[in-house]
Amino acid sequence: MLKYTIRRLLLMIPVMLGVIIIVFTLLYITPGDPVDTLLGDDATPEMAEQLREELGLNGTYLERLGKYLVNVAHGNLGICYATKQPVMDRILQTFPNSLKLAGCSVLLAMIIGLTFGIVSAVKQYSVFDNIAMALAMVGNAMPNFWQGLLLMLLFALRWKLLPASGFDGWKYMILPAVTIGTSSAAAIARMTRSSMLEVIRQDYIVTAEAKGQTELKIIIHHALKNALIPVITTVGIQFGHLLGGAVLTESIFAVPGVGKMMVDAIKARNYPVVQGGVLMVALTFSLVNLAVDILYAYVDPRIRSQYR
Amino acid sequence: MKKRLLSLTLVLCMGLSLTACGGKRAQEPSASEAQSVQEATEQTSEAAAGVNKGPVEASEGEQKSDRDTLVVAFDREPATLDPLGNNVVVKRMIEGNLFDTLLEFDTDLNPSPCLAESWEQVDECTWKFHLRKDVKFHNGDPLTSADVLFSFKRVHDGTQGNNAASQFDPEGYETPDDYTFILRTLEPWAFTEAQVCSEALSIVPEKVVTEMGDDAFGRAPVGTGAYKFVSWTAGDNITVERNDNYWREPSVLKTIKFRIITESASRTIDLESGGVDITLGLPNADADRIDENPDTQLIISTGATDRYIAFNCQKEVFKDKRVRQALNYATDKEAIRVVCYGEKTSDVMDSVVPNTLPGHTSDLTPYEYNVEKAKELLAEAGCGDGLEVEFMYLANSTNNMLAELLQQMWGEIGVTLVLKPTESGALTSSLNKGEQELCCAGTNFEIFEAGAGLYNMFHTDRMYSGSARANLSSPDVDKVLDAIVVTVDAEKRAELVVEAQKLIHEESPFIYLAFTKNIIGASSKVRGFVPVPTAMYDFRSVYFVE
Repeated sequence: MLKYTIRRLLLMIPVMLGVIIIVFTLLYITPGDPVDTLLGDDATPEMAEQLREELGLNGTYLERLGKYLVNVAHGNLGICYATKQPVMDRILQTFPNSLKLAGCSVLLAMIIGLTFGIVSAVKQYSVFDNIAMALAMVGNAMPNFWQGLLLMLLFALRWKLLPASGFDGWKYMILPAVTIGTSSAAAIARMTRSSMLEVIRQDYIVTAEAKGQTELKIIIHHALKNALIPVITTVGIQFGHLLGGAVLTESIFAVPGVGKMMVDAIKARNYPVVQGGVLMVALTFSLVNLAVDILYAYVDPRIRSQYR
Repeated sequence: MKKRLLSLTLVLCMGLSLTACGGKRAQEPSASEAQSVQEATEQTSEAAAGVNKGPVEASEGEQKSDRDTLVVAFDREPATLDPLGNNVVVKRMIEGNLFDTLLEFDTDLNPSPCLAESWEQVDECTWKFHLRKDVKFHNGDPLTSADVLFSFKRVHDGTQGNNAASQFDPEGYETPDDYTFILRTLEPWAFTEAQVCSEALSIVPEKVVTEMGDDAFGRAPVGTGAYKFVSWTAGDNITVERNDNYWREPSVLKTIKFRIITESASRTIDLESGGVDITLGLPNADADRIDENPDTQLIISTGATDRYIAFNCQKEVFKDKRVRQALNYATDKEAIRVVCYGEKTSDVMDSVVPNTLPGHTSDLTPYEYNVEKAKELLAEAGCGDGLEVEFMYLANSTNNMLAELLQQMWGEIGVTLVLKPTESGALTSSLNKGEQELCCAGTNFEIFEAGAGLYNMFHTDRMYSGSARANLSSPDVDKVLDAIVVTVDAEKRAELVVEAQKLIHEESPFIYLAFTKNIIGASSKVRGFVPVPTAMYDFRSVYFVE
């Protein structure tokens, strides 16, 4: 198991290298110049040239990429062009907010998704099943930004129950967490249902029923445990996505997270922040994936036997 | 089957009830519907409240509230709060509350005393400022001329886009005593007093800045202003607190929280739901809604911002003045103003100098919407068979509408407009290199001096810089602009400014679209807010009523 984990961790190095090179290249070929945004309208060409030199923007593609790779290898993600803070500091300021939000949303999505998925599978083709699956479809199809604004209009403006935006305590977390949790809940519900349906048709479930066990015990102990593998994959992927991908939701609800930081940085061509942000998200995504794979081993002994 | 039908019905009912819950608010316009909102604006009669609303004072019978925190929302997080940084309007506004300048603009945009209680012009290049003796920085240190000297000198050394001291002689500053400061301009310069009013030349404490370093100071500034810096949560808010030892009347409220909300729709909803007390930069499309809502009030003040379409005069297609004039005639400017900038949130633009500034003239003969005349001029210029031009603009709902209107109007004279909506970072770079044929832009007359603005926009020396989107190079215009910048006498300068406007108008580098106003949304409980044209709002007099 340890060997497996170490191998997977080592495999992450080429992945990260690929991410760095792709993001660097994309930013390099994107039109726009950070100096223009930083200096504003009043700058003289001399000022611009001096700043370009200071920021190291005058080198060739390979020079700049090489320098960046060396810096990253030393754990230095660079300095934010705008605030002049180390990029790592900016990530450490924003990442916990994204983490909190993603954690809340996944928790919410799991509670709703698992419950709906299990009940739908057990009561297949019932009214509940039909409603739940229709809602899951709507939840999956609804664009995040639209749903976010709708929730804001209802809960903040009309009923004045919750704050519209900001990030100043648990109350502020509810609307954004529901907004991004909805589509995850829908995905989890659908996956749980189909996976459960497959399992409850197996012979060992019939055996369990024949032994006279209660329905609840059969569902929890025999069916759910075996149906969990695909569900864990879905939850893992959703969590990874939410950590870096809740960009629109973070912007709408003014959550100072990594996604919003990256969008603002892209607009300002603040290259080090974009690169650092993407690297952080990619790293987290890979780690979550690894955690999911390790989790399989705990859920399924057959998989554990393969991890040697 | 029955069961299925029942569940389908249930789902449908849920869907409907959700929509119904949305009610009027949920149906508020999306960006794509903005056009119809603008049309509705057009139909709104002048009787609608909100036209140039001035300061709103408590009326009789209103009880002052003991709420002492004001929440102000704005759209873009400043990179730093060091005056040394670049000129972003909101950044300067927050700085204006933390720092003071030697002079400041009064409500009529005339320079008036601030940290300097009096000043005099010693000779044509030398100015002497006498400082107040009762001013203390937030850390308790007294303000002296050494701090003023330091504040001016560091602007010469900076590379952060602050160009405010470019006309001053870096070796010409003097501090004969603790409360006298002398500055010299490199050559006679008409805008010295106005420039000294600029937040870009705010006075900072030498000792603190030297100890902290520029970058750290920009994240935790210390000034002499009406508010002290308290905290800055990146991406979320900047909080400041009343300076009880302020040398003028201290603020009524204890705390101001400046909240960064980048999405305009969220800013408006936050104002309506009470999470925010004042929203700066309200979108035109939301103005009517805020005005009609009993919980909010719309505050509009005249500003000093032009909106125009700029021909890149250095591109072959627009080198001929007649082509520029033809397209000017082919544009129905009033229709564009009403649709894109809102009837009550903008004024007719009749010259390149905003109507709030001294020297503005309304005597220019406008390029009336006249398709026949446009066709004639195009034929004269040898483009009678049609023309294809590329329009580069920042992709947003207002500009998209503008582009479509132009495309339609110019189609009538055989001009094909190729639209090139561009994202902001790429756009600025392209414009600074002069790659565009045609663009739309807005200019905020920063130091509220028409001559300074015109120089930046139209002098040959300023071609391909931030404000000069037309890249005009005309010896006649240059001559007048050169005369303006050295004419210290305000009246004579105003005459020259009028002359410059006439020459520029004749050259037709711009199509005038609108003078836009500053649109602010506030809670109906807010009183005492003064909507100054400079947009450098001072919150000292703001308070709440019950």
